[in-house]
Amino acid sequence: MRRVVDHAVTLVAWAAGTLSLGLLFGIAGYLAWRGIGAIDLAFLLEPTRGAGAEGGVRYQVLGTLILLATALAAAVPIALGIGLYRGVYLEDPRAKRRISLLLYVANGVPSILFGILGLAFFGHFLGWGKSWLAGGLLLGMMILPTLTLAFAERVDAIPRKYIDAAAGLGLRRSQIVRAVVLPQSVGGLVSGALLGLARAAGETAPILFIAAVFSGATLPKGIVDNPVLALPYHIFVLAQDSFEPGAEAHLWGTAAVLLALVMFFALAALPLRLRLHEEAHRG
Amino acid sequence: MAEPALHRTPSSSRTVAPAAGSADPTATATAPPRPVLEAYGLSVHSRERTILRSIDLVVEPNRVLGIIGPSGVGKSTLLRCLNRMTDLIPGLRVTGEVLWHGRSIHDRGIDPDALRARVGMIFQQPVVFPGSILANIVFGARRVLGLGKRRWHETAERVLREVSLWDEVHDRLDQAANELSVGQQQRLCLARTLALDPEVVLMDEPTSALDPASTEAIEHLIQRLRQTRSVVLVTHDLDQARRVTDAVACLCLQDGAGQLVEQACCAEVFANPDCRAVAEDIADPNPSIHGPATHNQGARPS
Repeated sequence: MRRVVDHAVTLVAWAAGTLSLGLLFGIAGYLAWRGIGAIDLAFLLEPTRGAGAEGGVRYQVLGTLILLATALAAAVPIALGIGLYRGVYLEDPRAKRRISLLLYVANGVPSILFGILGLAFFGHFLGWGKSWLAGGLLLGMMILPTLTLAFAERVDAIPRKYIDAAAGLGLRRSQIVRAVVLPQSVGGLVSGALLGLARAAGETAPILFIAAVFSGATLPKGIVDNPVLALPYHIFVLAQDSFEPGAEAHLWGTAAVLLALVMFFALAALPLRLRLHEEAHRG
Repeated sequence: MAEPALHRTPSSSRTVAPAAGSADPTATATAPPRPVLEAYGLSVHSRERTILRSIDLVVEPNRVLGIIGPSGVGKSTLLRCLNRMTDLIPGLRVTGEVLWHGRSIHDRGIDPDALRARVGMIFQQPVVFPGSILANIVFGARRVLGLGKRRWHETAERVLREVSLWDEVHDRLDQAANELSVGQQQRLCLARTLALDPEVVLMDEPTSALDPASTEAIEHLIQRLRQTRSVVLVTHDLDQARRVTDAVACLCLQDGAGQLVEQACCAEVFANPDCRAVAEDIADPNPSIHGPATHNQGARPS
């Protein structure tokens, strides 16, 4: 009987593993198969022409990178601040738990809600219209919980003995943060940032109303009414509007580029996470 | 940092303590030197209970003060009161006085970080930071004293010689410190503390995690340290207390809180019937843990 249960559990585990890997490779494989024909160096380097049917995705890639860089620049200092305040300066464990809970809730807010929030605040209240900065800041808000939680987890995992030993040597709290806390936790921030970027790169809803346009934008020259092109928004519009065969190839090519970008971030985070894992276990 | 009370008193002005290994019985008879640290009516409360009640304690220069008592009596907490490490534990309330060269360490003008640099601390388990041996030695000194990079090696040699680790590690200062044996790590921790040139070194059962050879090395070090500094040694090993301390403070549990039974030179403490009860209590439960078994058997008062 026990062997039957054992075999059944093994089977279910195998099935679950195969299914999830199959999905991943299925999606990636299908996108690559449909998109690979459209992709060449010119596709990456040339701007779009002819309503999306010809040319490349130069400004979509650059626009997405601008949005991601802005998001990162906005989110990293705030994540550092929250994580250090929570982990080092806040003494009440209940308050710590409350901050974590808030971050988990914020992490679950649907992205379209960020989109309309951004529309109301940046678009209408600040009167920025469509702006790359609004989109970048909004994406920064979206990935902030991921970054902060990954960082705070590492701060919490620092053994108390290191803090005590450093304090026992007479280091000030700010020195302990720099000499002990940050070196042992900054990896969490980096891997959180890469995971957050992988997610932000593909988000369409937050940039739909306030940051991205389909055509007519190159590199931003100011803030107000300076939108960018972006890969996910490009896919969104092409998938809805185009029935031309040229546009369809373009669509799959763009999708494959976005996939490559997202996978790059996710895979870049992997060795870092594994290494940190090892260090944490070695103590 | 520029606290007058936290200035170092030149140790050369003091006469060197008597030969290592024996407590000086005349020390209490002659006029006592001005204490480095004193505690009066020191009590510590957590949210739930009183941990220590009304402790009086005197740490004299160039003396080793032992603190003994059963597990959970608050020995480590008492030690942490002396350099305000208790500040770091949320919910802990300390009442009473601790004087550092006659001045309360809870005065507004006292900088607890500067105090901790003068009153160093060694923990039960050695705590080495990730990084090289050299980085560990200068970990505090470069940040607290602003020790320049050019003086790192000379400082490392001085303190490593002081803890008898120089010969073992002088050719591999750049290697990871966590590859050292536990006994070497503990001596490294002591070297790191000595790099700050503290006046007092607080040691919280520094040898309980060590093998007999490392224990012996640390005990020799304590004897050498008292020529220039004061040591407060929490220990579970009564024989160790006899071997290395000049005076012993004996704590026991009364109504759930740690209280001082007596602080005196070793022989007197062990003559006190209450302390003998404490001593038997410490020595009996699991005699094999601390040091060689033969020592413990000898330690048991008959």
